[in-house]
Amino acid sequence: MKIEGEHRFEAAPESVFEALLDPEVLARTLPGIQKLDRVGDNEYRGALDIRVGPVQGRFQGKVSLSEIQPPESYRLQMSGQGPHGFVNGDGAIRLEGDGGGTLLRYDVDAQVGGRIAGVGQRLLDSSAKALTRQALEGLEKQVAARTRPAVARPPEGADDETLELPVVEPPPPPSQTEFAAAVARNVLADLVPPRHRPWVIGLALVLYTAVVVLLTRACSG
Amino acid sequence: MIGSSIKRREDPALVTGKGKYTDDLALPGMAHAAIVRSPYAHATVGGVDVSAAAAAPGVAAVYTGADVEASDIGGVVPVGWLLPGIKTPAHPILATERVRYVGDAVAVVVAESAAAAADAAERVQVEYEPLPAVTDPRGAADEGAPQVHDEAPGNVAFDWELGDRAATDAAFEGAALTVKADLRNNRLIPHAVEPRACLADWDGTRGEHTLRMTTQNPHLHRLLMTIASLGLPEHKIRVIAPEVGGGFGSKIHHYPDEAITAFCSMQLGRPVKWTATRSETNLTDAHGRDHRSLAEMALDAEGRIVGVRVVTHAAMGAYLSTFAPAVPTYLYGTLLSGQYDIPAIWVRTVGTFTTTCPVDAYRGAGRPEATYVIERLIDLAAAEAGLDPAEMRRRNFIPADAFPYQTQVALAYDSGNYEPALDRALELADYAGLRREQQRRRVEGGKLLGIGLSSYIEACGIAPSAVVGSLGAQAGLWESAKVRVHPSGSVTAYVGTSSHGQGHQTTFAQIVADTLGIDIDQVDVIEGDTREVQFGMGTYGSRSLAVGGSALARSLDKVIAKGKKIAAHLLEAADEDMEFEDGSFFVRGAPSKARAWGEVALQAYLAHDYPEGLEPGLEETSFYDPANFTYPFGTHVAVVEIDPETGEVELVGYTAVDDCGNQINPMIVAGQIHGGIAQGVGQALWENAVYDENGQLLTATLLDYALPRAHKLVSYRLDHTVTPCPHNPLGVKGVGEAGTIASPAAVANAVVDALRPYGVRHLDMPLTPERIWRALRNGEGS
Repeated sequence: MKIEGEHRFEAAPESVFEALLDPEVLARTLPGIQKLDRVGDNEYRGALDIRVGPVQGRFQGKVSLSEIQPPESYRLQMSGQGPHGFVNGDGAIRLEGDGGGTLLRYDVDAQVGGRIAGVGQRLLDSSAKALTRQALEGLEKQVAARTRPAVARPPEGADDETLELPVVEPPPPPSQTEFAAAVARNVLADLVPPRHRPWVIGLALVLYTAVVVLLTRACSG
Repeated sequence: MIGSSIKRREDPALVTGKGKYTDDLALPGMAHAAIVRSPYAHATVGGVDVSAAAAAPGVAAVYTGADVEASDIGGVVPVGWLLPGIKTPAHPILATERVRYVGDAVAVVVAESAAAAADAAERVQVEYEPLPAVTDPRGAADEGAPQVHDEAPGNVAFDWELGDRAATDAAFEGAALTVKADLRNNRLIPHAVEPRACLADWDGTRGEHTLRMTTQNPHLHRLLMTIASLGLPEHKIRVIAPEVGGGFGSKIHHYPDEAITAFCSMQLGRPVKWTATRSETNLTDAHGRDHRSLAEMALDAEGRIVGVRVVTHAAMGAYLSTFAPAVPTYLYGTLLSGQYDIPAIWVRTVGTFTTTCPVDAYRGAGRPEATYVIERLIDLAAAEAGLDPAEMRRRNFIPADAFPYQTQVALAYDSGNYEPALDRALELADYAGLRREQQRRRVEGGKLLGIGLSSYIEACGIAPSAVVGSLGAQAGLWESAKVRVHPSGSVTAYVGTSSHGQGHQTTFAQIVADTLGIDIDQVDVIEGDTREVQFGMGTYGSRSLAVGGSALARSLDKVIAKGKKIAAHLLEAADEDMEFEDGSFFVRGAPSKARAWGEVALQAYLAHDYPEGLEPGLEETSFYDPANFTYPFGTHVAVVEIDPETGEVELVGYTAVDDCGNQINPMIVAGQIHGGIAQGVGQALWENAVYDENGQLLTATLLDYALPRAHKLVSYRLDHTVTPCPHNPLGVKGVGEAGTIASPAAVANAVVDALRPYGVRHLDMPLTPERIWRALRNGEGS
């Protein structure tokens, strides 16, 4: 499976590159990530909760970066294994300046195996797209938070010399619900022609409401 | 009674949910096994960490391949058919160093419940170091392809040939016309309704193992468990087949899983049950077909076939399954003469290891593949020669007066009469009318109409033991039957076949009741238990009636012969003057001097007024070894409509005229034909097991593997001709596989026939709308 595309950041390549190599940032970027520990030079181990269609589970894996050429490119290799299979990937990340911003291009060759491939393969593409887009959107927020701390106004009456910037909490990683919703959106986009989507969404909402009402009644009864 | 369509006696229990299948059974203290399987198609196995699984709630034990090796059981799964030069790499029941397909077993968890075992199995941590995969049967033999077994260089398990190569090459050189095609016979997944299961019950004090399992051949499973997997003495293993919900070949084979379950029970000293999930079924039940064939046919100027030359690459998968080597060789190459008088044939089959689920016999087993090759070639030749496909076949049929007919590929056809079956099929299908309608649409437009013929032959009633022995079988393929007459005259028949949907409880009882002139309610048939039944080879290869039924007929003959002696004594007549008819023993020419069946049966046990020197009792056993295969045949006609805009193909007509010799129960015969056709239509139009380049099975669920559904099929027009088998006592031939053998070629020929005006010569199965749509636009097969 090929995962490729590009994403534009409103930040200089140096800032984006720095963020990309920061495990703290990455941990807040990837949806479903449970932990990411640095285990060596540019090598990380972590755990990731993944859900692809009916298959869900925690993947243990490692990510290593090589051929690092700041702030232009690096090579990324990842391997993860869980109860329902494995995900391995090998790809290139390239950055280039783009009128004050940065254009990031990614090109990853991923191999997926086990139940996640056998059962979830119809949803793999959509799930991968959603995961990637969310990760990039998350990264964009993290980069923005790192590069624009100065927007915080100094406290009233404080001395410029002793000014301490308030700690700006970086945005949290996306929740499982957000991730699931994004996947659902992508799956819908793949399966349903655009002109029918409002209908399907409407129908889904009606059904959802009906189920909630029924459940509520059943529980209270 | 013989020849009447009585309803199947087994059905009331089965259709009301009262059938007891292996998974329905429970024993006191029973634990449940879940098998940990490789997610990689090919990898070396580093450590297997079972600590988290062993500590999980409800877990009794976790075993790996190292535990099997440390035990004193055999721990491997053997191959049951050897060919010259064949490579037989060991197949351990739990992999230790390397895994070779997605689904290869690496560990087993035993727990108090199936759910606890499944949950804990997810906690087993296996270190895999991935290796490259290879999935294509032909590509596996390419230079530089990843090697599946060190012992099999180039992934070649065997390289086999049959026929006269020089004569065939010469025939091609002098031919007026030759046609050639690169054919793919798509890989199929069997899909028995009941998944495989085993309930193993080890009795350590007696050293006895009882295995209740989904099997088509309990005695063969016992033998293979004895000699390779468990190492227990044969008489200390009892294999029982409870109700078995379909097999189609997939429950012939000896797999690791049942042996693993047996091992767990021996280790723990308690009953252990394993039932495959549907996903495990798809990943591990031996698949079918998966051939790539370069096939050629040479003809003279009159459209007579002068030669056939075929080179086939057949995927064996990761390991050699039980009968796998026989399927693309002796069950395939030998059938390449079809119904035709072909003076020169040469076939070479290269069996290749691939990092996929093993491939073995699946309904038809080699014969659908052969029929597909020969029937596609003859259609290509007809198109090239400008002959009608029916006329092309007629010109090449072996004439009715040429039997017995020796083919150029080893088989000697005992009987046959092909033209009447073709004529009847054409008449029943209104072939002439269909061709007119096709012509009309080609002029006026509308949906494309395609008409496809398939004149098939099969060699079944498997098989003469000496013949198969000389070809590499590691077992005889005779069959046995014992008839036990009870003192009151009712009968229990013990047959070595093992019904798993075929209706033996009905058909065999019909034979007994008819022969002895008693009510069918007075007859029971016992199968599928190695303790009850003397021995048996099981049910597959359309053999149960032709071989098992023949053994039963022989035993009945012996019973009647003994009964005649008893009756002769009672009637004070000579043995040789006795006749038996409609349940009565009487003196020839004096029907009033008679003794009824029941009186004679009783006297056999009383032995009060009894012939001197004759043993009491009335019980006879026969071991029947057939003199030859049987050769059912027929012609099928498929009619399809194709939407030229979308490529959507619809089966709109199907006619089958089959000749399976004498029929015991025509309704059961029709049922077999119906199911077989559906399965073959499935292969032609929808079914396809797809591995990606990394060896991942992409069609691992019924979302992605399309089985035929009732609404996609039509009401078949069926008829038959009767050419009795000349060499068995019932004149029967076997019908379990006929539909599956004939129908893929019929449907494929129909689709290509519809597309011919678009310049399409050939399309590979499954003939999906996408494939057809592309061909409509490109004018050639994808």
